[in-house]
Amino acid sequence: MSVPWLSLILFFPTLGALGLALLPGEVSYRFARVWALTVAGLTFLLSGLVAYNFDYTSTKPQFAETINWLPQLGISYNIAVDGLSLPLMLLTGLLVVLSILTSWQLNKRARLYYVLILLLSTGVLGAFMARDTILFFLAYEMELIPLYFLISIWGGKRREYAGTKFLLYTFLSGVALLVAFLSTYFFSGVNSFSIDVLANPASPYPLVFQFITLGLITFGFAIKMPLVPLHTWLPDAHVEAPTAVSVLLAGVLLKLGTYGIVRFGLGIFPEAAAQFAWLLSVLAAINVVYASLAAMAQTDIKKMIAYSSIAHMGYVVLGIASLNETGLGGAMFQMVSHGIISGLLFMLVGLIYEKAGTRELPKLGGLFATLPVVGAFFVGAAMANAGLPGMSGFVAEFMVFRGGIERYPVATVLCIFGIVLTAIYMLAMLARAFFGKLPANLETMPRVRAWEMIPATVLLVICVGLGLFPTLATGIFEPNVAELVQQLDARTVAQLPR
Amino acid sequence: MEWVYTFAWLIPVLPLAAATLVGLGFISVPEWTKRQRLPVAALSIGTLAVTFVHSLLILSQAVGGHEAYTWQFEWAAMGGIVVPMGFTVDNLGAAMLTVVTGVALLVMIYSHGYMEHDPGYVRFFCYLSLFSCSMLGLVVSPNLIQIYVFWELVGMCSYLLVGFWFYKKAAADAAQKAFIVNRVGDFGLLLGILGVYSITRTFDFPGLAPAIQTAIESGAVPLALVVVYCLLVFMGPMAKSAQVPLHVWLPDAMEGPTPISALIHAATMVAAGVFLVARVFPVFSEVPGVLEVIAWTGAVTAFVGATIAITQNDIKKGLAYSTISQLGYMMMAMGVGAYGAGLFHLVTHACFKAMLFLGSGSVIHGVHDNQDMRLMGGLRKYMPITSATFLIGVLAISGIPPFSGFWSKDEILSAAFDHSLVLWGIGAFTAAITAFYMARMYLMTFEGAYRGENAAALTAVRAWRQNVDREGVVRGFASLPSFGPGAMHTDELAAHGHGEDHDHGEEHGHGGAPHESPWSMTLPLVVLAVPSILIGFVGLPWDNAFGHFLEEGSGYHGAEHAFELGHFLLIAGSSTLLSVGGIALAYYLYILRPELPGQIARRFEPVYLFFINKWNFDWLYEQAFVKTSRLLARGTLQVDQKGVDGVVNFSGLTTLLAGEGLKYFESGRAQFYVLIIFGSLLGLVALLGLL
Repeated sequence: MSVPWLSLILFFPTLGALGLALLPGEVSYRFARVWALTVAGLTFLLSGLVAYNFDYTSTKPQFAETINWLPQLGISYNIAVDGLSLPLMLLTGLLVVLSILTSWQLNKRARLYYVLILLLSTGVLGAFMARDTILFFLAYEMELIPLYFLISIWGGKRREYAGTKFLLYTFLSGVALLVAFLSTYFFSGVNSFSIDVLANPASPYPLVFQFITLGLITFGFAIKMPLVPLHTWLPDAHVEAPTAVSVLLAGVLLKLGTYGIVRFGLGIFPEAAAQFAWLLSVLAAINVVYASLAAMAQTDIKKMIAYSSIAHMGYVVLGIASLNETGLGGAMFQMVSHGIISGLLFMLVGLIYEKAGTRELPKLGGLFATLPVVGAFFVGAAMANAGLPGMSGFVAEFMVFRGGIERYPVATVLCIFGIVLTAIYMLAMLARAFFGKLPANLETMPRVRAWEMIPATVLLVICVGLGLFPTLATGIFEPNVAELVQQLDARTVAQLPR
Repeated sequence: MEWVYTFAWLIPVLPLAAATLVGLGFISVPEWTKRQRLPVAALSIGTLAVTFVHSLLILSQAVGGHEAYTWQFEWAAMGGIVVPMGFTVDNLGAAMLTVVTGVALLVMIYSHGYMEHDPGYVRFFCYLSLFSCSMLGLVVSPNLIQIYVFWELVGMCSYLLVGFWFYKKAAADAAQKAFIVNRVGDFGLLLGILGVYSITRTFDFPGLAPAIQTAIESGAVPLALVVVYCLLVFMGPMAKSAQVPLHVWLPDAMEGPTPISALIHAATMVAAGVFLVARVFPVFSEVPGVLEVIAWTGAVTAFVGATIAITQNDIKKGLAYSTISQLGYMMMAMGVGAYGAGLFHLVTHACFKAMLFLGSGSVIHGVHDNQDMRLMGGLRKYMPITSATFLIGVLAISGIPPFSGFWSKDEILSAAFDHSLVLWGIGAFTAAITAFYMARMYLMTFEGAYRGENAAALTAVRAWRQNVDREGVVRGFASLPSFGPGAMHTDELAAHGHGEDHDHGEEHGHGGAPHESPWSMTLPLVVLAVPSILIGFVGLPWDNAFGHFLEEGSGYHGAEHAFELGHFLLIAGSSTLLSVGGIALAYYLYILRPELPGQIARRFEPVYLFFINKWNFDWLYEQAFVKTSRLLARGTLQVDQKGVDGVVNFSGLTTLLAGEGLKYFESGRAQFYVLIIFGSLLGLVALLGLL
């Protein structure tokens, strides 16, 4: 048997976490952070190795590992990566490393903190690798627990409120998914939870059944993304969570929602998806406009970024709804780009909070004088968020718009208007935080040291890199997206002759 | 000399390299980089000088009849859509490259003097290089996507440069306003590009017009839709070239350093809109109605800009409104089909308006950071070079033969005359107003006696400030300075010392007498004076070398006008007469009878207030858009915080969990949670089952 690369990637963080937890005696935060960084770094390196050996022309699941786990129930430990999951796996690996760097100074119960971060990364990676619905569900639920503790222990003033809210919402999401997965299992009659088996049933699922399950799946993942009106847990979670957790939350955890819709919704129920898609486009447009407007009214920078992050997930949804290659490719691109840009924004907000002691816009101003580099990065990140060409957001959004405009002109126009709204609130925020006069009490604020900018620099470089050379990303998922669209077209045409 | 074409990509890349180098320095060793003033200036100016020479070589080849050169590669592809990038150099591009690199080079040299005492000197040059790259990239763009890319990038550079003095609130507001108004235009542009692509299936400029024509002729696409797409595309130029009603950002953008006003907000970036219209002109001319809209937009803009310019007392604001007005002429030219005339005016305007702006900067520098013309006067004695070049600029823009502006404006008016008498009427009347306000500007600044230390003038200006309310609107006036009507933006009036750039009145007593600027500032003025006088001769009505040059390259042939002496004498004669009349009137009102303007303003108070309040555009937008959107945002937040009430009924379940309701359920009784979840789930399944 060849080396189980994916299992290594998946469980290396878990082993690292266990090791760190079980180390006897006191563990200083200096040791814990180096340990965590090493583990996360090696994991990311392994992911890089997989990416290096990945066959970018194939649409097949690669590096697959299958172990019959509970054969009576048809549950298997089945993991693999394909063009849809590989970019998200890489993004996860990278953001975990960067979030550990972001929390470099943390010394409150550092050992537990890093244990949880590492466990979290196993959960997320597992969800992206899973080729079995139950395995996916387990990973999806597993990621929830560390995140709950990360928010409730290291969070701000209302951390318990936010943690509980997050837990309840995500739990609900999990229940909906479980119901959907179980009913699919029973309906298919193939005694398997394997995605690849379920996606090609002997006889197609009845349309009504598809509608119900797809509805449940969409509902479950809509909480995760989140889609308005199921979104209110996210701003609270972000506001209370420490910077690194916000980076992970916005960067990768939300992607589980959109990834899930593509993988399970479009993958297993293409006929219903084709009929359902228009509804997604409506939700996407509402998401973009509503969350952008809500972002405009915020005075807490972090909450504004949280709403902005919700709004920009709407572009992913529009891309998915378009059901064509350009749109779906744009959705995939936007998932990666959103992970990078919102991660970057949360890091920068974290720096402001750390140095200025507040994130409230009325108390800030003139920060260019004291935090020039953060300011320059913030301008870059704001521009990226507003879809400025030369950065990843533009490519993603352009593809999404191009994919959507002919099928859903109204929803797409509203989404494009979202880039105007983004520019308005991002620039208004810059104007209030960085331009103007520095409040007297901030004149003595600590400055940013060069190394503190490393994580943000990495993300900005990637953001610009993908903006200038989009094929770096599109090359990974293009075959799979093409295949998915082909399947959609074939199945829908076969099923629903017009 | 083929290499000058094949290596044309170097033209945007060289300034980019300079900007990147300085930018990297800023990130890694900021303090050290800040001190490298001369090396950075030398690097920026040097790279731009190289690109200027390169552009000249290209221009000489193009004049010699070299074919257009295009190189593209596949930049992105997804689902059958290929987005190419690359560069193209045709005759239009060659002319633009020369203008942009030339003006940018001179502005950089000028900045060395103007920004000498500014702590942000190095950052300024870095931004300038970045802007040059973006603008040059825009010029060589071979397709709609790439032009959109650079279009946005110049917008970002403009944002950075307008907000250069970040500690000034007015600058921050202006930068933000500029970017957002442009974003509104770009919203239309992006939609338009997507729409046009849905017809043409190509982004390349040469492929657009034939595809559109085929689509229209075959009836595959409703004509109305094509018109809508074209007008959406035109929204981009409307914002970038400050056409009514998206012009409101440009005057505010004068908060940026004056070299920026000259380069970006007069000569190059604002002309990008006209340039884009020129690029897609073959498309627009296929589609009925579009050019008509452009022509009228231009005419209205020209008139509105000119009427506001009369009332301005801030020298830069006056020039800004004049720029709006002149851009209106260019658009009008495009609209009446006089493609060559519009671009010709673009070129001449770039020369004389850059010179005027740099001249105003020299004046501001010379009188120690004052921009209020009511406190200038008599500067000709102190600043001979500046005043002479400024006078040349005034004569050029007023359309006095044989200065360059005369030829280009005459060509536009002549085309408008053939198209519609009304448009010609607006154009000619605006020309008279232009001559009047430019002469007023010159006379107030350079003639008469110096008022900067005149106590009565200071008191009068201070009293005037009482007339402007908090929203920047002049409601009426109790007192009026005796030497002319006018007001400025409240921000400038209300606060002194919120920035180095303008401290009005009080401070410059300390600065001493006005003085001429250093050579690095006067040299660009003198250099620009040469084309401002002479460049008109490349576009003589009876031997239009410039027009032929453009048409050869574009493959587009406008209606050939045979030169008729009678026609020429009629148009040119009447416009010259009007201009001379305008200048004479200004001389009468501001030199011979300086007490009259105030009395006239009082006599026609409603009209005067309408003009000085900028036709109430800003006030209207504040009411209609800014306040509404704030209200909408707050409303959304309210809805959001109260548990997304509107949507709760739809899901039937969020009610229990969302927002404030949540806290009552943190009872800790797990059974209760499960009960709720189970019940809701049942409800949901039932609901979905019913569908």
